[in-house]
Amino acid sequence: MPTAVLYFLPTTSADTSPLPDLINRITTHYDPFVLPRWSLRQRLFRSTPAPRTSDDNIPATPARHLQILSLPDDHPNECFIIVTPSSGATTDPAANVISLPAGQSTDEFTQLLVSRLGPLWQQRQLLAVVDGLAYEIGDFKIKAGELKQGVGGAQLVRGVVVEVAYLGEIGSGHDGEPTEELIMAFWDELNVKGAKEFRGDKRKEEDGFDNVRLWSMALLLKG
Amino acid sequence: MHELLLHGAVPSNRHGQVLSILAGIAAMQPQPLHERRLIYKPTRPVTRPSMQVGGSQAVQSKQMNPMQTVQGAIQGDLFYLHLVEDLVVDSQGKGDMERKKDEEKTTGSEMMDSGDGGDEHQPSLPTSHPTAKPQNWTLQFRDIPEAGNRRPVTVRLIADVPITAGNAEAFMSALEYTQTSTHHLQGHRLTHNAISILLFQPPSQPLYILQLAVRVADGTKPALMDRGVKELMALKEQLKGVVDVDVVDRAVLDTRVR
Repeated sequence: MPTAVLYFLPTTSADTSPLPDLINRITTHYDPFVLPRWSLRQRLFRSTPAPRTSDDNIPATPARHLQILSLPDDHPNECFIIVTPSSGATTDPAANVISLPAGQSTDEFTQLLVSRLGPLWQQRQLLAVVDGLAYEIGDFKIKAGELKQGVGGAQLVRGVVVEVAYLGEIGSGHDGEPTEELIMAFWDELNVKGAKEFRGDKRKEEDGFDNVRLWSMALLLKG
Repeated sequence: MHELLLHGAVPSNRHGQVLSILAGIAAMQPQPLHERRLIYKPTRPVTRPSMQVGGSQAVQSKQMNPMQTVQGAIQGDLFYLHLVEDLVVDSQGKGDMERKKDEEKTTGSEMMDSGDGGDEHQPSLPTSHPTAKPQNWTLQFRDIPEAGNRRPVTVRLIADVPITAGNAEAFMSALEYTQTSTHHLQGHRLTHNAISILLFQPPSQPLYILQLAVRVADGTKPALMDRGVKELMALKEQLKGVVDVDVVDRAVLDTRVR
């Protein structure tokens, strides 16, 4: 999987989306090769707080999240479940992703969460990018799409999520750091303000799920 | 999806005879069944809203703690979950998942020759990874059988979720489930029309269990459910005198954490 960095441009005002401006910058600054449209879907659950006694001295455990993520363009046959591990030190942080077959199995798992595991997990939101745009510019691939929340007519655009990936040969070492810097330099050239950046952990797990983890971090829309 | 079930008990000394009769009915060789089952329960302790037993002369206090009302709404049953690993390896040394993938003819070079399907401790990689070692974990959920069921078979909601990649056991810890026990299940399986027949010996029991199961994709469609019931009853009739199969007490199949 090529190294990527994700950016999120939140919607600042009700009427305008950051997307047209970004696309404009891309198409005027470069002569990009247009790639097919892309999409993603995320269903987010939050852990139900454990029943509390009225003892205020015991701090509440922080909420954990469970995401069911579908990235059909890179992974057409699988969906991913990503869980924030519990805060116990024994949990290996890499242990928090599994993949399931897309389609019926994922639907079954979602149904199970909603109908029978309700006491543990509550559904929070549904996020999707429907008709994302993608371009290839030299050794870089840039994908941008409006991240919409909700279904049907009541959709709310939370912002624009962008993935910039470097498709060329990996640089000097295998740690991917030089590649990430290349990507960040590419992004800086576009001179887009107000984006939140998401990069992979220094320690790459090499289990094939690194890009999935990156998406899961970005899609939590924290802060 | 839903599952319709009938269960029966077979004493050890009649196991061979019953197996051949089943093979005759199903017109197939019994297939080996060998699973490693890990049982998990949520780490969170079960809490139940306190119930007042008997009548009370007291007027309901208006000063109920508002937190308690919210908690009452989100409390419900907590269930055990099973992680099941299929350990059956055929003559080519391929596990069940690999055989299934062979049938689907996946493209790409992810079909590796794994020596045995029993190397369950190694976390697996996504199918697109060049050195992926296919694993055979399935996450299984079984609901308590329906109450007030007027059908002559057990009816319960089930979910079987195959895990294609990732460390299943570590994931369960991340999900805040703890492993309570593990055992191996060995026996045979056969298929007769829509019925899945399992004959296995539960851990530390001197007899065998015969399980007849039909899976119905949509439990809300009465026509489908009735068809399933009919098939099960027909097989029950065929097995009259050989093994008595019937609806088992709901409490025996209760998967709720107490």
